[in-house]
Amino acid sequence: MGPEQKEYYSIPARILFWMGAIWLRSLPGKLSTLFFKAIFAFFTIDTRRFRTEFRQIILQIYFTGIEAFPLVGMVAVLLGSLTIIQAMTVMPKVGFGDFFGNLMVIVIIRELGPVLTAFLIAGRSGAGLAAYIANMKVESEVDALETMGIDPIKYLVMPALIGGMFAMLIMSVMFSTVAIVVGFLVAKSIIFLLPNVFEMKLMWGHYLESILLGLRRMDFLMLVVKPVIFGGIITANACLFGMSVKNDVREVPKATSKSVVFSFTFVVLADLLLSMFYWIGYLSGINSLF
Amino acid sequence: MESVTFKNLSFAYHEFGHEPRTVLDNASLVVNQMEIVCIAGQSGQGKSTLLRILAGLAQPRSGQIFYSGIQSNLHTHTALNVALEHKVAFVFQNSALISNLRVFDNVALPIRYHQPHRTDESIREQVNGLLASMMVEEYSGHFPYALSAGVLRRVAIARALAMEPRILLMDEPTTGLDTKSRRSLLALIDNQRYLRHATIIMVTHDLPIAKDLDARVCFLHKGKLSDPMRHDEFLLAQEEHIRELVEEMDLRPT
Repeated sequence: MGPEQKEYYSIPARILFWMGAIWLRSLPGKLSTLFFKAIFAFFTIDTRRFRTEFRQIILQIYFTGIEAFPLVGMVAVLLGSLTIIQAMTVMPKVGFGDFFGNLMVIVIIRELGPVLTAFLIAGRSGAGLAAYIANMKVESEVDALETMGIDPIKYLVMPALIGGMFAMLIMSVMFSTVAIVVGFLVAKSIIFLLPNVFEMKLMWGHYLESILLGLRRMDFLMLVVKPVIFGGIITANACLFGMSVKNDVREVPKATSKSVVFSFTFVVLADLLLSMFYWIGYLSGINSLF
Repeated sequence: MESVTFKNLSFAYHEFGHEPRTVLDNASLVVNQMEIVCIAGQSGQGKSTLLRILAGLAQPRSGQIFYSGIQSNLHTHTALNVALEHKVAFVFQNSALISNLRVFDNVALPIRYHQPHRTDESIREQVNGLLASMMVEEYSGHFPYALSAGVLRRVAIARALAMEPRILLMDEPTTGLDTKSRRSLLALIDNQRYLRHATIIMVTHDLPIAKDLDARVCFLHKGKLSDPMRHDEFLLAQEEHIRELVEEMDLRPT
């Protein structure tokens, strides 16, 4: 064999190479790589093995969604009744009584519903998932999976991600529904109990009509898109920080808190981008969507 | 017939702010099929690292590894590839059973995953057989946290055997076991070697294993791996580090 020839790359190729290398080492790069690996794993499930992986997805939905429901439900009731009372007392005084439904739609369905649900799920289920995976890393359980020929992305990350996204969707829709329906009942009860403090009337028919008039078609799309994206962000973050732990138990709490902090940040960032997309679409006059 | 061969393996730990620490320096070894080879040495010499490299859990800096004569590509030398392509199973020192699965499901996991066509009945039969062969069938419904180290070790071996491995790597299988448990565990390991024609490489401080299992022992010291020796050979070895280990175990005939 002759002497080894060194390969030369053009300058644009080198720039692209370094940009790719930096992207893959950055947090968003790692996060999106893990996300797409897990999505790829979902679409390439061996259907004969689906029962094993389906069980994992169901367990994840149970942990992320169903077990978190009392917490999410309670916050939804409080937020719903609070928003109704504030809106009903303040808005008519400044002459915006007719926009009460719009306010409820913006505050609960469009913004606070998905974001607050995401915060609650990130604080509870995301932190739990990160700590669980980090502990598995410390106890060599992830290594054990690999030595058994089981890909941790397929066994741990994919079910967590799919389950988390689905659970977030259910929780977010539940949050908005509970906030609007039970929030109304609580607000009505408070007004009934303290008639001298809140001198106003709250009628179900008027309330519901006002909310339905405030809804746009795009809101229904966002009701689905936002929670799914937020769920993906929360679970991908939890899995990434959990998996990044080495064999040191001191890293478990660090991974957990980092997962929650970055989940909050990325959820708000994603919400901002989605809202921008929403309003750019609205202002550019794609009326059929709104 | 050669089962595991490695040539000139080198490995160093790189820690930020410290000089690289070499734990393997051109280590070479040939292990034959159905043979048991122990890797011994003082703590911190890199025995477990060598085993992790063989399992694909760590990547060597240089060298060649062959499993049943097939060379493993060091660029794709991951635990997943090693387990799937070369049928290598690993028993961890801390057993590393999946904590949210019962003992039965832990052992059934690799079978369910790699043989999805199998019926529940046949999986149950195989898992119960494996648990019985390790004498832990009574614990099949328990979660790992409720079990003792000895039982966990046996379950971990049963799980490794569920993969029907050609090569079994074990990290300190007898550490922390009482004399009776140790003896029965060694008998089970010896039995499995003949039953399944598996090659076993284990890291251990327990030098009497060499006599109990008719194994060869390699000593790892300052990155250098000695030639494999039988029990009576290493008792007479002149190297200082081997003599220290032998004296610690009080093995020399009086």
